[in-house]
Amino acid sequence: MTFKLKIENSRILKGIVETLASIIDETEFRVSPKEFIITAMDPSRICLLKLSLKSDDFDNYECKQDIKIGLNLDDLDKILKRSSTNDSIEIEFKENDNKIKIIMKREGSSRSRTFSLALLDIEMEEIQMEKLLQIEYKSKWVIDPNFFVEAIKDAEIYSEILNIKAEEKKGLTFSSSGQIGEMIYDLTEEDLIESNIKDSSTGAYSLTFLKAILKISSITEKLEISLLTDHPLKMIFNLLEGGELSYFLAPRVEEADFNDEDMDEF
Amino acid sequence: MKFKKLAYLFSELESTTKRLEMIDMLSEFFREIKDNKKFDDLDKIIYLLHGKLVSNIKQFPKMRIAEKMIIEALSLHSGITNKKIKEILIKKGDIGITAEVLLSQKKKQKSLLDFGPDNKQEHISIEISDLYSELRKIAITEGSGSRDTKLGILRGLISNISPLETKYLLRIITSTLRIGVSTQTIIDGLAIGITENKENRDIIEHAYNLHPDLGEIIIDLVKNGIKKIKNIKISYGIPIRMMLASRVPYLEIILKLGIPFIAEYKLDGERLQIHKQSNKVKLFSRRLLEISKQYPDVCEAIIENIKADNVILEGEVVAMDAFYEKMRPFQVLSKRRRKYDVENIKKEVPVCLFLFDILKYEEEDFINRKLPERRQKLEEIVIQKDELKLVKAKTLESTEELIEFFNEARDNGTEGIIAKSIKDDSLYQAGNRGFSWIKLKGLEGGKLKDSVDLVLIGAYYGRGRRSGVFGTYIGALYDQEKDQFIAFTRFASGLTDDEIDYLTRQMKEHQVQKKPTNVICEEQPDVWFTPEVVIEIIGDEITISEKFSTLGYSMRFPVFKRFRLDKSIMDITTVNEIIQLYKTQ
Repeated sequence: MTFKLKIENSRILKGIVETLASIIDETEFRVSPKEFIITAMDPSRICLLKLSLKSDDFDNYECKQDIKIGLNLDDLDKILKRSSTNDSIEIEFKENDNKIKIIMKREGSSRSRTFSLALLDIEMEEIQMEKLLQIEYKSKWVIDPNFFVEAIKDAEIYSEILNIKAEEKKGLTFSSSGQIGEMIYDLTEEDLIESNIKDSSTGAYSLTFLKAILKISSITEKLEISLLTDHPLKMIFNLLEGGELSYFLAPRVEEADFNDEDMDEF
Repeated sequence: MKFKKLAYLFSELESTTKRLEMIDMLSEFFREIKDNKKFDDLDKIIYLLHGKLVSNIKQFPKMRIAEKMIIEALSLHSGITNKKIKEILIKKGDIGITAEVLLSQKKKQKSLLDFGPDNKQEHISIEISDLYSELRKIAITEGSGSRDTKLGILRGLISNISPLETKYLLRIITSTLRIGVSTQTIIDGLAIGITENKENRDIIEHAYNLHPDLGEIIIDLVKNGIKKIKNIKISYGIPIRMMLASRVPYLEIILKLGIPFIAEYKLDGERLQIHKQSNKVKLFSRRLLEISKQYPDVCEAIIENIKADNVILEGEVVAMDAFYEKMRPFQVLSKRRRKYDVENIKKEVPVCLFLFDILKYEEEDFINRKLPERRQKLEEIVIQKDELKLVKAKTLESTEELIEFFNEARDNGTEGIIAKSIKDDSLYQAGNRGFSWIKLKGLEGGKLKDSVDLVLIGAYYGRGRRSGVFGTYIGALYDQEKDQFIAFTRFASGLTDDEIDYLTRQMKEHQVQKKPTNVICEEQPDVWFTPEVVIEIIGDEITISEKFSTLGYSMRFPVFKRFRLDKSIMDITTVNEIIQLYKTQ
């Protein structure tokens, strides 16, 4: 039971771990001969993420059987942040070892740095994704993640929520409003890389989570988003050759404003 | 046991102030535990009923969770903004109630469980033991990034429990869980529920006084029976609850004690319980916390000058001048508390330990022996020197002799005297304030001129020279039966400008938006405090009060004397003491 993974450019791995660490603290890594998978939900169960990287995405991938290990992502993030962009990163696990080794090497240099990170004993509840995957989304589009990041930053001025609206033939609208005013960010279908928008769908989502999710924007060029009124927002980032990082983010429900009179019953 | 069950009990208990009803609820609850033989969490339940995670003689590692982090967790979970939550918190004045209100609302932020994963069991609650291990995890997480980990654990907990449970969980985390049940009431509930005999309450209480960890006592009881508890012995290394002194006007002391009696100097220092086991010494404070590190010199003196392998003693440690001739006031001694550089402070503030009692000698408990026997044993085993002495004591037979000895004590820089019975019943009554020890700090006629210890619960901003700082404070007494703090007196004088500034800064940290639920006060001060800071004041006499109508008494000419960092809020003057004082003055 061992595995050894190597990636020549540390930037991608660093970016992935940074965004994951901002949503979950500890998680289980599942490494199989074919792929490398992380499935996790944030503690408040608002956001679910699945990372899958194929063996081809790595420059070297050695794994003969299924292995599960628990790791603290904040610590892993701290270690990976110590690498430079041109470093290659190798992650190694040996049977009966209660740690992984992370080896950083610079191209054209014989210097190497080795970090070890203790494994965690975590019991993960099996996450049932079937029902989420069965949701029939009305609208789906592919967008430059930078547009989305821009909309999120604009929205933050006004509130903690981003409203998304997709309308057939018209395109997309991101908006947010607060006491001081409101912002509207319009995109036509031509501004999108691909689009398949039917009828009209709307949803509102927490900016705190969107910000954490979009931390990965610097290492991807495409983001696929699916929207259905008052349902979880589905987002898929393509990584490397065949890898994917996908999210479901539970919606906010905009009802009458928080009622102070109800409160006074207590 | 699931935490949910305990949360229901908490909310039931909070709904009443009647002691008998509380006893019924508690005994019912304990009876069910007994019937199901599920004793695993019983000790933890007892600590939690006291608003603590562990007993008084232990300390739970600090969790270091700020209110801000709790608000953030609640915001992420509920979808209600931080700002809005802060507003509600100001209105409600209690983080637990705020959370309960927020989370009981129809949620603005949906959970993914609403859409997919079939395990749609929300609020599955959590085992009390798992709750403890999560809280321990929070406590041991440190370093950079620990904030996120702590927040993650907190959010995980909140999403697994109901709003009612969250209310109490957050109070536990912020150390503000006070259900309003006294130890006495819990003991009553245990006697009826667990032993099915109300009469056993005294046995349990006695055991608790000798081993102040009610959780451990009860676990011992369910395993080994009431007999085991009845014959409990004092253990080395575990402090016993200290015997306390009553007060009566000096003219009545003889009536209470009979003649002859003895009187000892009442020193202005810190009371210590000393546990010596061969060459190891542990010192415990009045609050039963180990404070050996503050007094390495005392520990040395004990090892070198006590002729016993194992012994438990009590005494008062006092700051001395460089020649060990004059005693210096408590304020000098309290420098030791603040300094980390103990080696230096040993020279700067020399101390002497004045012993006055012996509670255990080798394998024999001494608390059930008469005072003269105890005193004799003490004299046998102590080699007196500068750093270690016996407290000055004298056998007295009349009020005249008492006055003379009192004046002598005061001339020597003490607070006064403690008169003690030497009759057959002069045993050491752990944890009790009987009439066999009587303290006397003043003689002036029928007037009090005596001090009381109060906890600060509120304040008014000052005017003029004192604007911007708190000018007038409200102090409260402790009501043991109801586990509440009852407003007793306002006071302003006696504070120097420095003390006013210091106290204002200190008290701002204890400031809360709303009157804490365990505080009873008829006035509406500018600010409220959580009852935490204990101070000592002197007054002329106890008067009937209309203003503080719950209590019905107040104090005439109260003057601030000093801070009492050595006293916990449970050790302050009680309502019963004041009523007693009023009757006798």
